[in-house]
Formats: sequence, C-alpha cells, structure tokens
Amino acid sequence: MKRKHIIVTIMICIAAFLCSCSGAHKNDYLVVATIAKVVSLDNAVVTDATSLETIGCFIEGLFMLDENQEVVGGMAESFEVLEDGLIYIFHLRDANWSNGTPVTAQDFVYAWRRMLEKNAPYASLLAETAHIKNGKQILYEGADITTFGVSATDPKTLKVELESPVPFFNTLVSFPAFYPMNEEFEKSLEAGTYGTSPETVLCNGPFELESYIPGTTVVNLKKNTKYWNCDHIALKGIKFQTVTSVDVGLEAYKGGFVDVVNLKGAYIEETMKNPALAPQVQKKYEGRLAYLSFNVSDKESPVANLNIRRAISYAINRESICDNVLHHAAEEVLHPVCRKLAFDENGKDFAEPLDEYKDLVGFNPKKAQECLDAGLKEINKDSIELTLMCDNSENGLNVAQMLKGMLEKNLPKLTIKINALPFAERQTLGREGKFEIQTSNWGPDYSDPLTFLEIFMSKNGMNFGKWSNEEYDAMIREATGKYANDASKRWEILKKAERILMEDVAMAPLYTEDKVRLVRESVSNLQSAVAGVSTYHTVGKEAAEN
Amino acid sequence: MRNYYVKRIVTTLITLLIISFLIFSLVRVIPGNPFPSEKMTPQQIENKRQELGLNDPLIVQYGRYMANLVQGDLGVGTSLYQGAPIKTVLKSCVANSFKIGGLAVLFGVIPGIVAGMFAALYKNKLWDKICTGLSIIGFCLPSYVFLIYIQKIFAFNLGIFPPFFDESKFLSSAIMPALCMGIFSFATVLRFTRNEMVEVLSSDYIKLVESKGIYGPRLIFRHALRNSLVPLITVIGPIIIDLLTGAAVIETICGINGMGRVMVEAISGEGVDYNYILILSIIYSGLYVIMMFILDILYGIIDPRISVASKKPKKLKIKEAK
Repeated sequence: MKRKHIIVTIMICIAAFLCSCSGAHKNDYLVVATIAKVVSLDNAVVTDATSLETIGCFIEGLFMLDENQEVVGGMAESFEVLEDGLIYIFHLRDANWSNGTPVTAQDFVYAWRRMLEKNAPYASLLAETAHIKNGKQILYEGADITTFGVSATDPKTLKVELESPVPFFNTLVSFPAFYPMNEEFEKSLEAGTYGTSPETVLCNGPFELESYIPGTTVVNLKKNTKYWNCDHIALKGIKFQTVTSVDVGLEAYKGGFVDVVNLKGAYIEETMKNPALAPQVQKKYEGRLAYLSFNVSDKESPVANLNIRRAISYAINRESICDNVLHHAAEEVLHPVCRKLAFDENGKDFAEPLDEYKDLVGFNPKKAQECLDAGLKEINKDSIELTLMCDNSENGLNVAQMLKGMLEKNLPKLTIKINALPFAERQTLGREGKFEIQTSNWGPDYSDPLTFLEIFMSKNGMNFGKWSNEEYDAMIREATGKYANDASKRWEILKKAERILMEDVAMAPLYTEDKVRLVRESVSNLQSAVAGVSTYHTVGKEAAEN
Repeated sequence: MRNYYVKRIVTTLITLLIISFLIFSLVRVIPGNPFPSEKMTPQQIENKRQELGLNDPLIVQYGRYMANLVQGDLGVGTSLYQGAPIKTVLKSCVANSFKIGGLAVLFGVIPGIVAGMFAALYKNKLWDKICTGLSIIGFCLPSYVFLIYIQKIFAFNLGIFPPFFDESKFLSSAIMPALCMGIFSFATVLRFTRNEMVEVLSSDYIKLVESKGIYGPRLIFRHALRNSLVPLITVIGPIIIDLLTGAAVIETICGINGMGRVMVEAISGEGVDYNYILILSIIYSGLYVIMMFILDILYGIIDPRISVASKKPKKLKIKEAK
C-alpha cells in the first residue's frame, strides 16, 4: 500500500512537471523569431539589423521614421533650423529614463561624443554624413572631443552645428547611432559592461529591457510605463527569439511558439502553397540593394574596361534571378538607389522611372555580345576568365551560380570562376581590393539618395572597387555643399551623378530582396523600414490565442 | 606524495603555457577579419587595430595577453558580442555548459553504468540484448539527429518541452539537449561496463568470493563493479569533459548560450574573434589536464595497487629464525 502511494506521488510530480514544461506562450508579448542573434545592446558597437531593432525598442532618439519614411516626434518636441541649415536647435519634451531621471540635452551630447571617442562603426555617420562640426578632425586626426559641434544650451535644448547643410538631417538623427545615453549612469558601470544586462541599461523608449545576457538567444522587453507616450503603446512586451534556421522558425510558428517569422528561399513558396499559412504571409519592400562591384583599381584587369563591364551588366537577366533563385521575393533593380527611399517636392520617387537606365545596364544579350567583342578587341584578348567573389550563404551561392550560368551562356568568350567565402573573409578581401567582381549588398541608413551615391566617391572608404570620376565627385560635393539648401537643384545634380555612375557601369545593380514574413492574424501594424530600423511603437497584438 | 603533486601542477602550467602560445599564434593565421562590420571605414578599422595592439609583434601581443590574463582581464570581444568584457559573457556560457553537461552526465554515465551492469549480470538474456541494441543505436545515431526528432515531437508537436533553451526555465528547457548529449556517453559507458563486468564476473577471485558465501549486492558492488570501474574511468574522464564543455551542434540547435556554440561562432561567425578562441581553448585544455590529474588520483582510490603517487615500498619484517 505504501509503495503504491509513493508511485502515485511520483507520477503526479512527473505530470505536474511536464505540464509546467509546456513552452507555448500564453501571454500578450509579441514573439519575433530572428535568425541573427542580438550582438550587443550598445549602439556604439553594433551595425546589424537585429541588434539595432532591439535597441530601438528601449531607447528613443530625437525622431523616428514611420513606414513612409516620414519623420515623427520622439524625444524632440520641436526644432528650429538656423543659418541656412548650419545650426539645428532641438527642444526636448519632458521624458524620463527608466530610473526616473529626466532625459536631457546633455544625454545626447554625451552619447554622440561617445560614438566618436569609441571609434564606433557608425561614427562616420556623425562625422562625415551628418557633417557635424569638427567630427572628421576628432575621428581621424584626434582633435579634442570638446570641439565637437553638439552642445546643450540648457537641459532641454540641444544645439547642433554643422559644417555644411544636410537637408536630410532630421531623418538621419532618427537612426540609432544618434540615440541618447545618460552619462552619470554609464560612468557608474564597470567599463564595457553597458548593455550587458537589464541592470546595465537605462530605457527611455516604449519598452524596457526585461531579460538579456550577451550571447543569449532570448531577449525580453516589457512595456515601459514611464514612456512619455505609454498610453499609445499597444503591446505588453516583445520577445526576440533567435532560431537556428528558417525551418526551425517555421516549425515554432506552426507550434504556436512565435508570432512572427522571416521566410527565405524555398520556404517562401512552400508556405505560399499551404492554404492555412498563405493568408498570413506578409511581403514588404526593403531597400537593401544587391549589386555587382567591379574592381577597377588594376588597370590591366579586364573589368577596368568599360565595354566589358557593360557586357556583364547587359548579360544579366535580373528578373530570372528574382523569380528562380529568390522565389519571387525580390525585384529587379536598374538604379544604384533603391525605391521608396527619397521623393522630390512633387512626391516623385528618386528611382523612377524604373527603366530609366535600361538602355545602359538592362538585360540585352545582343548588346552584351557586341560590348564584349569590342572590349576584348580593346584589351587584345580572345577570351577572358573572371573570378566572382560572393558570400558562401545559401542565397549568395545560388545567385552567384545563376550569374555564372547567365554570363557564360550569353557571353561564350567569358568564363566565370566562383570564389565563395565566409562573410568576414569576403569583407577583408573586398577592403584590400583583392577581387575582380564581387556581389555586394548595401542597406540604406537614412532616407536620401546619398546613402547609396556617396559610397562611390573616389575617396570613400567603402568604394572597394576604387572606381573614380572627378565629375561625379564634384557633383556629390555640390549636392552636399553648394546646393544643399536648394532641393530642386540638389535633386537634379544627384540625378546627373546617378547617370554618370550608370553610364560608366561603376557597379551593376541586381535586385532588392523583399522582407517576407509569416505574421499571426492577431498581430497588427508590423512595420518594415526601407532605411534605418523598424520600430514597434505602433504594433498591436490581440489577446492570447494559443 | 607532495612532490608528485607539485610536479604535476608545474607540468600542467607549462603544458597550458605551450598550448596558449600555440593557439595564440595559430588564430592569427586563420583567415577572416576581427572587425567584420561593413559600415566601418578602413581608417576606423586601422584605428581599432592600433587601439587593441593588433599591429604589434606577435610575442609582444602574447606577453601582454598573458600579463592581463594573470590579472583576471580576459579582454573584450571584437566581432562576437562586441565590446562586452569576455568575463561577463563567459560567466553565463560556462555556467550553462556545465549545468547542461552535468545533466548529460547524469543521463548518460550513471544509467550507462547501471544498464551495463545488468547487461553483464543477465548475459545473453533479453535485457542484455535490449542493452546491446540501445548501445548500437547510441553509437550510430548522431545526437543532433536524435535531438531534431525529439524536438519535433515533444516540443513543436506535443508542446511538452520548450523548443528553445530558456535560462528562466532551466530544467524543462535543458532536458532535451542534455538527454541527447548523454546518448553517446550512455552507449559508450554501457558497452565498457558490460564487457568489463562480464570479464570480472568470470574471474577466479569472484568465484573465490562466491565460494566464501558472498552473493548479491555485496558481491556485485563491492567486488565486481569496483574492479570493472578501473578501465572505465579512463573513458569516463574525457566523456565528462566533452559533456561539460558543451556540444556545439546541440547548443546551436537549441539556442543554448554555451561554450561550444560560442567557440564555433568565434571561429566561423561573421568575424574571427581572437580573444574568445584563445580563452575557450585554454579552458578546454585546462579542464582536460586537470581531469587527467584527478583520474590519476582516482585510480589509486579505486585500486590502491596502481596509485600513481606511489609510496616507498614498505620494508617487510622477516622474522628471524630462532
């Protein structure tokens, strides 16, 4: 009898344990599955989208960008532009950090200076793109940090001095690189430990960090009740869950463990064929541009020849890549600037008309052959072999193989050798200029064509192919200097610069990949930013359904 | 005895020093970039290299690294968990790997010894055949394949266990990975225990013990199992270290922030992180060397005849003939 009792007790314990184990979430948190994990929660060290998106949940800058790339109010309640765009004055609203201390202009001064002092990856965004006074001298020549053109005239007024006008400055400061940080709090921590746990961050955004350890696959954020616009935040919290692969994410979605999962490759088609899941698939445009970068630094290289670069661009059927390799989740691009990024006074997209440069770089096998023949004649060769460097990721390899097939089919005198490398190695070789052609990607950081066009300036550190054109450089300089305050003239000159880039085939644009996600029906207003990072301010989730 | 320990500790330290220098030199040869960000300008990367002293001669860098290490400064990550002190990151990593590894030892080694013992006692009977089948499956089936199956059934479909590791629900989320990590060691320990026990049970001294009227648990635990454990210990040592230091694939599948996963990410992530590779390699090597040291002592405890720190032989007194 006694033994029976023991067995029953053990069985009840096991049953209770198994019930408590059940992982399906039964709360109101939005659970987002991400393939990439959060690298860090310090905006002075990260550049990856997942980390920046997470930081954007608990820290708020001067402004935010909505889905239409429009600036909406953040910590800044109002602003003034003085001296022809050389001085910006931001008036901050009454807002508090999660420890109750007020957010002040000094928090912005400290954070922006810290970006330069720490030589942050995005420091060049403050020093070069934003043209903040003395930024370049501090970053590259070691000038005194106190000379940086950002100051607090009073606790609620931030003054920013620029070296030249930046018409898109307000959209630029919505980027996480421009977020504030409380100096007293950061200095009270052990060096380097900022952002390594909920105790080592202060939050002024819509959410508060609830749990995080560096390297963890789970980041929990709960609604910040001290947030200035707390009443308009619908979510009770967000959980970012890293998953190993898309199929694991998909299984977790089907099992009810996550609310949002990104789809890639063959999983897009597979999900679209599933009648239960197809209505939950959301496809949104993203501005990350994939293009072919040519290394023209070696004048003896075949790709230094304009006709050969043209032949390569003409021989690529971009539509076929989008349909067959990227499973209809991408669109062909014939511009060096993505769509939905920048608009003129009449609302016209900078990248319109979409076929503007079709004659210069669009698919045309006949022209491709003619150009290659002309190019080969110019370099006195009968045939050429080129190496295409690419990422060894699934998409990277598939696209490279498709490109090889197309180029060799449409240009029989051209042989392509693929050199697939891990991301970091490709980056290193790219920076060192040790490549002939490489497939590159560039995501826009701010809503202006310059985010793409400036990387092709002769002295830009990102111009790995070392393409150089004095006229082009002069035009970009004019757009950021002389015509910075004249919107129509600036637009015109940027369009001219863009044409030079395409006429000289400094790069061959390929496609922009869409963001395809499975989103539970209970989730509403999920955003996808073309430039910068997506925010979760407007996202809602109905009561638990699982 | 004391001399032996001092000698072993000195040898251990020298071994670790040599290993650390070799790894330090080798990681510099690995292709890749410690600063993989596509947004950093070449000048910024150069500034970072200067700041971290990566342009100094190798021997200077090594000397500086070891001097910092002695003071407990493990440096900061460059490509992995950038900027965060490695000490902070490793604290949870090592704890997770040790906790899950400990569970795996519990699921693998202990049931392996028990099952092996019964298989030997019921040699050629049904239980022995079941155990042999189980051990063959354990040997042949990669643990991550097993994990994928049980994750699909018990987590995604039945929802009994959480599919991903969650430190706030440690026990429930650690059961699946620990079970899978323990499978190979279960099979290995089972086979070894069974074979050794069969050999020991058929030996003359067991027959002598039986003839003295000793049967049952006393015979098995005191005489048979104890003698079977000596060769088993040689195998168990490395198994325990393997389990404690984490299985990279399993940690990756379950999203465990453990040593194995961090090591893989440090080598093959977006960038190469010298400091993580170095410190994790030193930890691995250190654990192995320490484990070998412990095993040497254990041999002596289980079987005093093979004590490594052998004492001077006792002088036997011979009775003088009167």
